[in-house]
Amino acid sequence: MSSKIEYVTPENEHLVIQGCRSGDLTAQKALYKSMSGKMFAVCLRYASDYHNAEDILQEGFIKVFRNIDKYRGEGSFEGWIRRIFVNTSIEQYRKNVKLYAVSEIEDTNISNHDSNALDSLMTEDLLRLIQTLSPGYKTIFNLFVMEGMSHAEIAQELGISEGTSKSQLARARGILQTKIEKESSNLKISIKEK
Amino acid sequence: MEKKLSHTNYSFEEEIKNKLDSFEATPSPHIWANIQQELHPETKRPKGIIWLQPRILLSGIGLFLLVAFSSASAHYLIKNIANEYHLEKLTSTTPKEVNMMMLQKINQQHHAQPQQVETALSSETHSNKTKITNYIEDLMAAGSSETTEKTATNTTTTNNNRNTTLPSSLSSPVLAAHTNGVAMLDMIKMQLQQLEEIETIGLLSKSNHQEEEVNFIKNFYNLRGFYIGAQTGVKANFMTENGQYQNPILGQDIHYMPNASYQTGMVFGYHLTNHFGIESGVNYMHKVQQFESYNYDAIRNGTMKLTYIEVPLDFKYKFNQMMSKSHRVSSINIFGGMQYAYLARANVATQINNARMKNPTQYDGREYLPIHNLGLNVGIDYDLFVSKNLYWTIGVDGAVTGDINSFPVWNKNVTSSPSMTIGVHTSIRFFKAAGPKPLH
Repeated sequence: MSSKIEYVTPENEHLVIQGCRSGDLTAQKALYKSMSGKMFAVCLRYASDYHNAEDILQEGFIKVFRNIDKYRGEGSFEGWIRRIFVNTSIEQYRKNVKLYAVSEIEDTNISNHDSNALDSLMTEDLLRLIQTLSPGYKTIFNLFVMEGMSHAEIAQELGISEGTSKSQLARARGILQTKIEKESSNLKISIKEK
Repeated sequence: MEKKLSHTNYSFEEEIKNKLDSFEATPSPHIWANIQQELHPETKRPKGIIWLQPRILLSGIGLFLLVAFSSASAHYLIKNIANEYHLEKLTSTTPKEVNMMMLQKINQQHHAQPQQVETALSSETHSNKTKITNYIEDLMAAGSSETTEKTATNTTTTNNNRNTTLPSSLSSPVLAAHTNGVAMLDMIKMQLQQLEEIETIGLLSKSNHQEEEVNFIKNFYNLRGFYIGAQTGVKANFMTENGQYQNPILGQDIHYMPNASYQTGMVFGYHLTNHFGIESGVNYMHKVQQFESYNYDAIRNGTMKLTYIEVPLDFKYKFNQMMSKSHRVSSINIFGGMQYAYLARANVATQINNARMKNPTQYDGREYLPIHNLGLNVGIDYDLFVSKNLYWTIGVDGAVTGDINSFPVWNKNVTSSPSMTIGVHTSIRFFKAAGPKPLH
């Protein structure tokens, strides 16, 4: 592999993958530099804090490099990597947290919530609020909303019932919306005071 | 994967997804280093990189300054000696060689005396000249003040079993020449003795009243001994590289700004000789560090207030001299050594730049900063005796301190960077002479 490659592009992706398969450090570094930003954002959503996110990121990349032979070129390379990071996050979650069963409830109707609250928040603030959710709510919310998994898939992934997945998602959604509105309200007060 | 969002939730969750999908965050630099180490445990750092390590660079600069200052001081002292003793050529580079030149100069003066005496005896007979010459040579060989006294009263000397009797018919100018020659010899011997004492005590004076000064020093100052005092200082401190303070709250991309700090404590030490000493102490160091951090969620301004308890261990080399008018001993010292620093307190306050937070977040930073630290010190200071037991010190010093686990410096698992302080210090010290009693 050419040592000049610093970042992965659609044109050189196959070269980088080839380099990583043969254990080339330059290729590995190029892949890390290109993907670490996006994957770290994924890790931050699942992690309890910044350090935990870095642990997941580190573990995830080691898995990527050690298992890159298993990537057969089916589907996008980024999607394959992302899946590894989501799985690593779920593994971390399983190691550390017990999922508490909650009573199955129907989806909460949220039509009365302030729809403008989310617009007023910065992405960083939103991410911080998601991080404050309890591990169970956070994981299910992320899998459903961000990864697009169904309740059946989530239930299988986490070893819970579909009903539990639904109820936890509903609660996570409700809590998150309350937090968003509160944050948005504080922001408005702060601006008025100024 | 199939997702079925209820109609009412769709916009909310889709909006969240849209917001977060394009978001990226930068992890700490040490993550890649850890991955690399895990994948390629045999990988070593490139050879050149070690020279770029700040702690090595700073240590090198400190050592260079130490050597350069030492050489400059030695050269300065040599020049002073040369001026004082009117040495025409200064080709020597060490004090020892200069001393040799001084002795040669004095010897030349000494050997010139018999010629003067011979000139004075030019009118004497050959026999008388021989007797007188023998007599002077014997005197020169004996060369004591007692002999000089004898010269004035008795005219017989004994040397190498040769009995030399000075003829009674010698004229008074001859006798005067004898006396002058011996007096000159005694004076030269006294000068040599003084020089030896000066060399011993490490004092080099420009004064014309050298004898008085030497006696003064002999009677009042003996620079070997123990001292203890109170010290204070003001420093500028800054991180040698960004990234030391990585944590979930502050993030990883941090820019530090140099800030003022202060230090106070006690100092004690022992002058092993008139030139070498060892010094230690206990210092309370209060560092204030301002920074700006760029994290995944915000830009923050922050202030760290760090309190360290420091215990230095320094070695000193002293260049002693005497003030020509006040007759006070002073010395310029260069010192270097190591110090241990314990992080006793770390108050961190941060505030997001957009001012939405009314109050800054405050927390204990000891969780994220190295508690046990080790550093390198280097500095120059100046001592001035205000009495024989009390002296005042002022100086400049610098230190590089880092996580104790980063020693040895090639331990690449430690990612924290060292912090550096440069500043001035002053102290008042009580001195108790030890060892041999003052010279008499």
